[in-house]
Order: sequence, then structure tokens, then C-alpha cells
Amino acid sequence: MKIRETTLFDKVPQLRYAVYAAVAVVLAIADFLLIPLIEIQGVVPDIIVILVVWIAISEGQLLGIISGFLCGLLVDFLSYEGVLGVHALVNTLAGFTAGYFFKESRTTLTLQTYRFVLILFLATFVHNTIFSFLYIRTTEATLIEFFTKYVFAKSVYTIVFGTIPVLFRSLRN
Amino acid sequence: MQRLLQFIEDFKQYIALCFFVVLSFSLMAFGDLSQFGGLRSVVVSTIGVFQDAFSFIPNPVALKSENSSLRDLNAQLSFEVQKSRQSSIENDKLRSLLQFKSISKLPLVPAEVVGKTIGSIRSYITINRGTSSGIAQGMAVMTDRGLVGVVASVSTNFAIVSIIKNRDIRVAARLESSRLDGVVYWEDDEILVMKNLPKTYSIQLGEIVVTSEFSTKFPPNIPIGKVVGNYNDPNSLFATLKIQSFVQFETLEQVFVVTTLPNPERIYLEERYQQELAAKAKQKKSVKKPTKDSTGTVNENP
Repeated sequence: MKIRETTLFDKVPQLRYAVYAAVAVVLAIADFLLIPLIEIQGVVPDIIVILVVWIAISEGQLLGIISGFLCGLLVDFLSYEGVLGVHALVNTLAGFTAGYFFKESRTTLTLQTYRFVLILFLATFVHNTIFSFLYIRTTEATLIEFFTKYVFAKSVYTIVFGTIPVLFRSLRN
Repeated sequence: MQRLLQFIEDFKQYIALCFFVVLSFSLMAFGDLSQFGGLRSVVVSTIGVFQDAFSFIPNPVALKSENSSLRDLNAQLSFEVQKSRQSSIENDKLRSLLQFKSISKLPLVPAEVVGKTIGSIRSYITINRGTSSGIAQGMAVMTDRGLVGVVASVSTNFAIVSIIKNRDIRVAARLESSRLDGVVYWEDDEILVMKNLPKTYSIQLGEIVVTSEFSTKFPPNIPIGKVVGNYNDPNSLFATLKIQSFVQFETLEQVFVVTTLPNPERIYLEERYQQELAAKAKQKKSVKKPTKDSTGTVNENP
């Protein structure tokens, strides 16, 4: 039997919300500063949705929805695009989708295995499909290009980054 | 109430989802980021500071894309420069043509070369002026530099001009300084030739050759070219000169058609006289046949 030391999070469970908020701010800023540097053919990963899915799987569907909305609102606020609520909507839906796979007893297992990556892919797919429908004009891309570039490629690129917390967590445990 | 609370408890995720979706759409519909005003500007400037701090990190993909777009822009600008240079050259050409037209005493109709066949035995150009502009077959065509050719065929809006680098064209020409007359025509080289000049005269290189007044096709004193050499044939009684045309046929773009035709009275008179001479010669041949004496000498006038 593996015995773990009691941490500050065990004593004050609400502290993790502060950590989520801090990570969300850091990721949102990184989304603007660093992510454009790794753009490939106009495709960039969405790192905020990784956090939303992580919260949804760790904390449940309701918190996934709330965190999705708040994180999306943060991104909306920081983005230059000027339309408030688009990221909030798509991240809410991503949180809702990921929250379907929440099982309290299997949280640890999900977070440190390929399951997280699969759930992330599904949530990101929903996120990107709706986001692209709202943002991409039909004249800009054909239906095939729309799905391959703006939905599928972006989802794949996002799950590449999604494997980082999975590896980190599995190595730590 | 209990049932309501139970319902909310059971479907809290869906209620939350609906709530946040409606909220998001409301924000999309009514929320305007500009309303945040100063706060947003603070956020943007803070991000700007961070972006500036991170700007040292190279982005290979963005650099590649920027490189590509700069290359495109470069090609486009090169094309523009080329176009501008061409326009400038064309402008100079047109100015000189305009000046030429104003000082020339000949009635000229400007035309643009729309087709060109140079290099074959019968070189010709097509111009965008025809009978509607008063062009007729046999009219001389020239540029400000010199003689181009003669209108060989004409339609309503186009005309075909046989250029002097054509075996069918012979031009009665004159050396401008020496006043010696000869015939200029093209054989099959880049250079024209001028024949029928007496060998006894000394001719300077660079002397200008113009159309002669003897010509029935071309108005007199139109420059043709300059003397660039001679063919030294010891067996011939006449000198043959190499003439370099003033006109660059390969780059010909604008021409003038001289809208005067040779005097028909003169042509008629000369043709009639030629026919008379031919008839007389034929008559003489049929009446008096040459006889041979005992030594075998032919006596044309016994």
C-alpha cells in the first residue's frame, strides 16, 4: 500500500480552485504570447481547452461547464477579435462534453492515461467545430478544408499538447 | 418545492449548460468589448509589454510565411518597376514620334504595329489602320527614324505592310551627300544592299541613304539607312554598298503611314512609254532578223 503525505490541498481543498484560476490566467496569456510562435499553416493548438477538460474530468461536469465559461470569457476578454462570448460558449460546450466522462472513482486513471487524450480530442473537436462555424466564413474555406484544417488538424495539434500534463502526472505517480 | 429542488439537483448540469449558453449568446449579441474601455486598454498594453519581451523568440513558420509573402511582393514590385520602365521608354518613343509628326511636311497617319513576321523571305507587319483611316495600297510607311516599307494589302481597320527587308521591294535611293543614285533592296542578310553605283566615286562610310525622287513608290528624302561597308567585286563595273537600316524592325511598335500615293499621271506616262518601247522592240524583231556573213559575225543593222 502506497502512503502519501498530506498536502496543503488536502487540508484546504478549495485552494485548488485558486490554482485552476492561476493556471487559466497563465495559459490565456501564453495563448497570446507563445502559441502564435508555433503556428503551422495557420493552425494553432488551443491550450485553454486542455485545462477545461482537465477540470471537467477532475471535478465533474458542472464545474467543467462553469470553468469552461469562465476560461472562455477570459480568452474573449484578452482576444483582439472583439466578439465577447464566442470562446465562452465553445469552452462551455467543451467542458460539458468532457464532463460526461467524469467518474469520481476513475479520475486518477483517466488523467494519467490515453483516455484523457481521447476525451480531450472529442471535446476539442466539438469546441473547434462550433468555433469554426461561428468564425470561419463559407467563402474562406471549402467544407473539406474546414474540417481538415480548422477542426481536425487543430484538434490533433491540441491533443499533442494535451499529452504533456498526462505524462507529467503519470511520471509523478 | 422539494420536487423542484430535486429536479434542479438531477439536471443541474443541463440547467447550467443552458444558462451559460444563453449567457454566451447574450454576450455575443449585446456585449461589446469596447464598453470595457480603459480596462481593456490596460490589458492590451500589458500584453503588449509581454509580447515585446517575447519578441526575441524566432518563429520559423511565421518567418517562412513572411519570407514567402515578401518574395511575392518583391516579384510584384519588380514587375511594377519593369512596367514603369517600359512606360518611360514608350513615352520617350511617343514623344519623339509626336515631335516628328509635327515637323514632318508629309501627311502622316500614326498606326500601331499589331502583328509582325520578321525573318522570313517576305517580312511584313500588320498595323491597326485601314481604309477607314484613309490608308490605301501602295502608301509608304515610315517611322521618325526612317523608311519601313509599303502598304501591301488593306482592309477596313488593318493593313499589311511589306517592310524593306523583303525580296519584293526595291527602293530607288540616293546617297545624301554624294548625290549618287542606286537601288536599295534586301538580299538575305541583316544588311540591305545598294547597287548600280559607279565605282569611280569615293563614298564615305556612314553616309546617309535616302529615298530618291526617281522612286515611283516612295516620297523622296525619307532616310533609309547609312553606309556601313561595301562588297568589293573586281569583275563588276558597279559598286555595291552595305546599308544598315535606321529602323529596328524587331522592336518596331509605332509607325506612320504617308497618305500620299505616287502621282498616277507619272506612273501612267512611264508605264505607257515602257509599253511603247516594248512594242517597238517586238515590231523590229519581227521585221528585221539578224543575218550572218561569211566570217560568222552577227550584223544587227545590215
